[in-house]
Amino acid sequence: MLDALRGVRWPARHPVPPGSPGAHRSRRLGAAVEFTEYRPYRYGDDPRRLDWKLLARTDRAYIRLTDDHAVLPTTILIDASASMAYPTATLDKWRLAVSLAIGFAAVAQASGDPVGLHVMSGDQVMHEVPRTTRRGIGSAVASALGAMTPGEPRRGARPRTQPLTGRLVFIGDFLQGPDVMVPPRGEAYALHVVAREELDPPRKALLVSDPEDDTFRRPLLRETRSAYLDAFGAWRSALRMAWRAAGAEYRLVTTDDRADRVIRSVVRM
Amino acid sequence: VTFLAPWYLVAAGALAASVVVLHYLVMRQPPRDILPTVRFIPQHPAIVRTWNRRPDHLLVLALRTAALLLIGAAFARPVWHRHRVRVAHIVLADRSRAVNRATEVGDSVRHVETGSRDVVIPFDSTPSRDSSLTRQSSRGDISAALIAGLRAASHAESVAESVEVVLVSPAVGDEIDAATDSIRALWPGAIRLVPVTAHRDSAPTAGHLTLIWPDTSHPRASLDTTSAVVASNTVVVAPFARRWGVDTAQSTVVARWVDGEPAAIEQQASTGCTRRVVVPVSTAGDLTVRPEFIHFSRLMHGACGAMASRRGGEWSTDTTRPARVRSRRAGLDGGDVMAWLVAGAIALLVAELVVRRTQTP
Repeated sequence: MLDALRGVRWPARHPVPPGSPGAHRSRRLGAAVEFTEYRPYRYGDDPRRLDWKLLARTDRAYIRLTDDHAVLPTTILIDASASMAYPTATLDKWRLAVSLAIGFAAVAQASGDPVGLHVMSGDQVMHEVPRTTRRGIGSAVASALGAMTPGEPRRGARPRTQPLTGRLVFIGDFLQGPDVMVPPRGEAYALHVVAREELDPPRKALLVSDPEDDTFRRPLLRETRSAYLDAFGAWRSALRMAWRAAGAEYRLVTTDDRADRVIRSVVRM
Repeated sequence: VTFLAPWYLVAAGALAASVVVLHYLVMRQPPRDILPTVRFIPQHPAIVRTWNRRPDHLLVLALRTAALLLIGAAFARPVWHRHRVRVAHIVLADRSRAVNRATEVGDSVRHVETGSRDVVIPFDSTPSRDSSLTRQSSRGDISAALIAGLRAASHAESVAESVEVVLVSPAVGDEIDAATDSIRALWPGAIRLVPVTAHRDSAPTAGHLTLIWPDTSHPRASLDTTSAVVASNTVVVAPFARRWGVDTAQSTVVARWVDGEPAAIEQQASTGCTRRVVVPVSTAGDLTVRPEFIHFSRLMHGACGAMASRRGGEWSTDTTRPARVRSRRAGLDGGDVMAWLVAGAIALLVAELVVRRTQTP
C-alpha cells in the first residue's frame, strides 16, 4: 500500500496558521523569496523588510510582502472500540482502519507535516504516537496499532491533554463517538468505516448483540431487516450532514474498498 | 392386503406427516451473532419458527404416528388375503367293491389332481383318512363321501379361489341312497363325475327282467300312508297307501319312499334280475296318466342294472350350477381386523402418554 501511495502529497485545503516552515501556504505573509505585493511601511514593521531600492527611487517606504509556508500538524484518530472488531472472524473493519491510518500517516509525513496518532475508545482519546516529522511514522503507527485489539483496555497510553489542532483525521465507525469536531483554523476528515455485513446483513434469522454491550440484543429477522436498513441509512445520512455542516470532509468507507484508493480520493478532495 | 376405504389411510398418512412436520417445527430464539449496528434494529419478539434438525422425544413421535396410521388403517377396512391357489380339487375316490380295478381309480385321481391343495378322500362305506386306494370289499356309500367332501371343500375355501368337487366312482346303484340327492344339493356347484369301470357284480347286466308289481310278499303290520316315491331323478307325488314292505337283503334299492324307506328293489339272478315294486297303483284318479308316473313306470320296466347305475353326465350336466364354486371367504373378517387395529392404536396412545410423562420434566 505504501508503494501505491509513493509521491502522493496532501495539500492543505486552506492557508494554514503560521508555524514552522512547511509545504502549505500560510495565512501569514512572510519574508520568503517569492514576492507577492507591497504594503506601505507602518510603524513597528521590521525595517529589514523595507524595499530600499524603491525608497531611493520614489522616496516612499514600502514593505515587501511574500507568502509564508508552514507545516500542518496532522493528528490521526483511530477508533479502537469493540465495534471495530467486526466481523469477528476477519476483523475487516479494524484492518481497514489500520491500513488507512498508516497510509494517511505516510502521506502526511511525505508532505513534511508532523504526524501523531491518537486512539479513541469510547469517550477517551489516548495519546499513542506523538507528532513527529521523522521518517518511519508509518512503521511507528503500524507498530502501535498492530499490538492493539479493539475493545480491550489500552495500557500504558496517556490520555490526551492538549487540545487537538491542525489537521484531524477521524477513522472509525462513529458508533461510540466522537462527536463532530473540527479544530479552529484547522481541518478535519471523517472516514466512516462500515463493514459490508453491516450494510447488507445476513438474511437468516439471528439474535444479534452489541459488541459493546452483550446484554443489548435484538432479533434480525425478515420483519426487522428492512427497518434496520432504513434506520442505519438514515443515521449515516445524518452523520454525513453533521460532519459536512461542521466543515469536515466525510467519506464512507466499506470493507470492500482498497485503502490506497480511499486515501488518494481523500487527499484530492 | 386390500383396503376397502383407502382414503382413510391416505388421510391418516397426511395427518401423520403433519404431526412429523409439527414435531420438527419449533419456536425458539434464532442463533446468536454480533452486529455493531444492532441499535438500528427495532424492537421485536426474538422468537422464530425453525426446523429442529435433531428433534427430541423421537419415541413419542413414533408412537403418535404409528397410532394415527393404525387408526387410518382400521377405518380403511383392510382385507387380508392369504396366498391361495386358483382351484382346489376335492377328489372323492371310490375304493369300494363297486370298483372293478383300483389302478383305474388311481389313474383317474392322478389325472384330476393338479395342485398341492387338492384333497383326495378315499371312501367305501365310510370316508377314509388314509390315502390308500386299494379296493375294499365293503359297499360304497356316496352320501358319506359327499359329506366328507363338502366338509373338505369348506376348509379348502380358505386356501383356494375356487373349489371343485370330483367324484371318481362307477356310481352304481347300491352306492346311492335316498339321502344322496339331498346331500348333493348342499353343494352349490356341479359335482364332476369321473366314471370308472364298475365291478361286474355291480354293473348293469343284460338279461331277463322279472317285474313283480305290486310285490305283496311282505305285508306291513299296519297300513301306512306317504306322499311321494322317488326313483332315480323322478318323483311321483300322490297319496300312497303303503301296504307292503321289501326285503333289501342281497338286493339293490332302486326306488324309495319319500321318508327313505325302500319302495322297489332289484335282485340279481343268473339269467337276469327280479325287480320288486311295492308302490300301489290306484285306478281311481289321474295318477296313471301323469307324466312323472309314466316315467316312473318306464324306469321300473327298464333293463336289469339300468336303475342301479348313474351315468357320469348325470352329475354334471346341471348347467344351472357352476363347475367350480368360488370361495365365499374373501379374507379375514374386516370387522375383526378393524377392532384389532383400533385396539393397537389405543395401546399406542396410552404408551405415548406414559412415555411423554416420563420424558417431559
